[in-house]
Amino acid sequence: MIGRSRLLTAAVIALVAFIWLPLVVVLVFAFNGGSNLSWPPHGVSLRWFRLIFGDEAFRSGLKASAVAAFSTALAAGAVGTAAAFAFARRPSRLASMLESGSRIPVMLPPLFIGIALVAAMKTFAIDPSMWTIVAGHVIVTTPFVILIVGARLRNYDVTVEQAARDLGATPHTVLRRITFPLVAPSILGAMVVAFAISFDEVLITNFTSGTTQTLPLFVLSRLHRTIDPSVNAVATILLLVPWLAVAITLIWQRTRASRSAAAAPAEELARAA
Amino acid sequence: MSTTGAVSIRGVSKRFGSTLALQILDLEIPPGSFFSLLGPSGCGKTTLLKIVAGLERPDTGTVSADGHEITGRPPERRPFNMVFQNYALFPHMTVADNIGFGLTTGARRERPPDRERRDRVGEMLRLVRLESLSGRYPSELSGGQAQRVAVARALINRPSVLLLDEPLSALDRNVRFALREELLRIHQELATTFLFVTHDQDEALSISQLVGVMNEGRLEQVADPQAIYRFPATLFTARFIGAGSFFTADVRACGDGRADVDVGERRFSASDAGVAAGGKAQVMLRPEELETAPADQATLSGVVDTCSFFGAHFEISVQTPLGPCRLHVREPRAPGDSLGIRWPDRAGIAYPWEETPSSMDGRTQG
Amino acid sequence: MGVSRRLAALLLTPFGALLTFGVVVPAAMLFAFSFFHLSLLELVPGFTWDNYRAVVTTPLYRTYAVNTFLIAAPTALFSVIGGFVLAYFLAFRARRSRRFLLIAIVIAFMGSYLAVVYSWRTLSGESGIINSLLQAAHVTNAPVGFLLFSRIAVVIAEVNFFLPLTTLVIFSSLSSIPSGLESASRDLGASAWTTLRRITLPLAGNALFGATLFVFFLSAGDYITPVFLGGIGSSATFGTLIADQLGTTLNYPLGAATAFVMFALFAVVVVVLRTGMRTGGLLPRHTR
Repeated sequence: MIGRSRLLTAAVIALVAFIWLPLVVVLVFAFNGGSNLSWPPHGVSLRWFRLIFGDEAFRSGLKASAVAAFSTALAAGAVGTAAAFAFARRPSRLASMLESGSRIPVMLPPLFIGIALVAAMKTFAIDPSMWTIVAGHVIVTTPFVILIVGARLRNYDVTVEQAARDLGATPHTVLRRITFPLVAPSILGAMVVAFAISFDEVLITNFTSGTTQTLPLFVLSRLHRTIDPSVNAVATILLLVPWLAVAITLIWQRTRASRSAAAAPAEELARAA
Repeated sequence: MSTTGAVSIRGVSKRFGSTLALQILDLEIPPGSFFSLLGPSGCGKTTLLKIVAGLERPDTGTVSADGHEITGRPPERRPFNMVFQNYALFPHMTVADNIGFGLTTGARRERPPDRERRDRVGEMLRLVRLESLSGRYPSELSGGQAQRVAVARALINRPSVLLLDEPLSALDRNVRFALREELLRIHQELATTFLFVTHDQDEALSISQLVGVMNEGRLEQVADPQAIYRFPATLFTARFIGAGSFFTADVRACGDGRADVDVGERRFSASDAGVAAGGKAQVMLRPEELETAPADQATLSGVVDTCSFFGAHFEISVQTPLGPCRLHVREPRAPGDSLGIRWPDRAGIAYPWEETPSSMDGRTQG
Repeated sequence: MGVSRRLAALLLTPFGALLTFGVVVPAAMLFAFSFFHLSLLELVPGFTWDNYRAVVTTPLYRTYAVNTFLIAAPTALFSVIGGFVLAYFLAFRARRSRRFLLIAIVIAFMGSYLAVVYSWRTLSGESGIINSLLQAAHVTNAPVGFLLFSRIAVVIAEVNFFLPLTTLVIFSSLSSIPSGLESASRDLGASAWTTLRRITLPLAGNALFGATLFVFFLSAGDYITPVFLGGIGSSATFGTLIADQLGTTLNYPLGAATAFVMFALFAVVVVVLRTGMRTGGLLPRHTR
């Protein structure tokens, strides 16, 4: 028994180390003083960050990704929250059809969504632009919003709404003072998830971007060349921006209602997934 | 007795899909009373409570409060408030904000000023003895504390009727007993009508002034707790309330509220609960009506099956030629012992015989 | 609160439009394209089976299919096995480390796909970190070549990227299993292995099935990792082929037909996997 549980613990440690190995390498070598990508790194420096921030292509890529991710978070947050409310509160045949349909964009390989959008753009003579980039991102992120907000709407005790009605609140008051405050942290969390997915999206964006270059596309163009140490710095930004977004949300939620048991988006995502 | 808080239910019925949750039903709840609706799960008691609260709409019939019909009124416009089984406290508000919520929902100019609201919240906190917890969130309360907050929250608007939906069933036994007394005290203090729904007969019998026993969407009997225990009107109530021994009997004669029945060789006089001479009956005897007796004075003999300890007494179940019966004894008996039982001449209640006894475990939803 | 029918319709309209115009219509257009043909590099509407015939009969496509399968199948298998090990530990064994591990995995899940691909390139190149470590430790004298530009490199990177996902999916399924079931099974005389085989795995069966397929599809449709880590031979997957046809050579009809042939092959994988898992007792015999 002890031998077996040691084996399991060892496997878990190995797997977590494996998961984190490439992420740590990127983070460490982004601050590497030398230009050789071999172990050990040569001192700590910000030279690669100075280098990329001096690059016009990088700066416009960062801006494009930020615009795309913010727009995606807002649009997917609105569309997904509205749909989640309808699914949870007004079941109908159409609603359940749409709800099972909401799994399609997640189940399909992004490649397929990308080429389908190519076909649609070709048919309707739509030129690639920031609009088409955001459209692609909203398609894949809205299901996550529906999943997260929908899970919250279904798992919280609806008798609190009955209790509020019983205490004299009109349906509108219930929505404003009970339902929305209880669901808001999940909506925010879902929007952060949408932001994070969008910020890193490349498989669809590759087909919908045209001449606009987002940050992931900037990295992709660098991958075609020989190994370039400055890419570590870009990849670090690709990692850190979504993490920071999540961290800020978490801290904000903790300070706002530390004791009222508002679920963190990370935990909810784990639950929803 | 107060003058408000009368609830009158006339001809109310409710169907969910193909299940009939409530058959056509009339009920008068006197003002200021502590009235319990008692029945197995699925008997329709919670549905009836929700209809009174306005959270469900009846298919037929009317609900009136103090003579005014309120059947179509939404819950926020009824002079009733409810305590929910799972507390239903607002998780994002403190105890004080939960309790004060009902004072903040009316039209803006009708809301009491902040100072009055604080005072009334304080008054409610004192009533349920939770003054020290006003700043806590629901997740930081124990079950008993949460339910007290729920009671205070429901009482702050001074409802004429307080509706309680199984408010104690999620609590531990000791907390349940303490809160039961607390509810009685609050009821005496306020003289508000309490309409209390429970599946726990001890709870209903111990604190209510009136009990309505429900089964399969029907009201079986409405009476005070003693009458419910001593003279259950129907076989269902007899089986549902307390323990008893049931014997199949032949009815020889009846009249003046008594029936002469034969159980096996033995003839005696039982209370008549609607039997007909010449027909079959089921006779119920409470355990305390039967006594053990030495073999020569015994009218019935049997073998002890089980013996359970109840503190003040032991309850034994005995296999007799007439069927199983239960009785209370002071000293424990070992299973397998043979035992003589003395049967009084006037005892028990005779009910019309039923092929399949009414279910004790609700199978329909409620 | 209940939502009126009219409000529900209003709430559903944006999402319905998104699904219709973002997925259904584009997919229908793509399907139509697969029957069109090219004339002088211009797309000409029409109806021809030529594209499908080309995909099915050209021997090169068979090589692509085999190579795609040889990447996607081990990727799915190892991702699900590794994910199960982590999820099992999280759900049943971890105590104090549980929160920390869960956060570590969720953060990695939110990590960047491109960062992972790029990092494996720096890790496994001939002068990369792994080789420089191996040589420094005198495990090898010459650089180890198979770590980069091989099928193994692609599988390692993809497993690395999908592991957090499979872990979270399987964990959410395992954590809904009542904790007493394992003890009950052991109490009834089942060994740890039997308990795993007959209780835990079947209860997680749907999650395992879903996660396997999900990773398989994503891996088969991945057109970036094979190119940058797979080298010339191993990068020949359906994903890279389709991306090339619709992104670079602009042979829309052939690319579309390839995509739908890939879907047909996916369906075969679904049926085979389901049959296999049912036979193995990991999925219920009949759908309820």
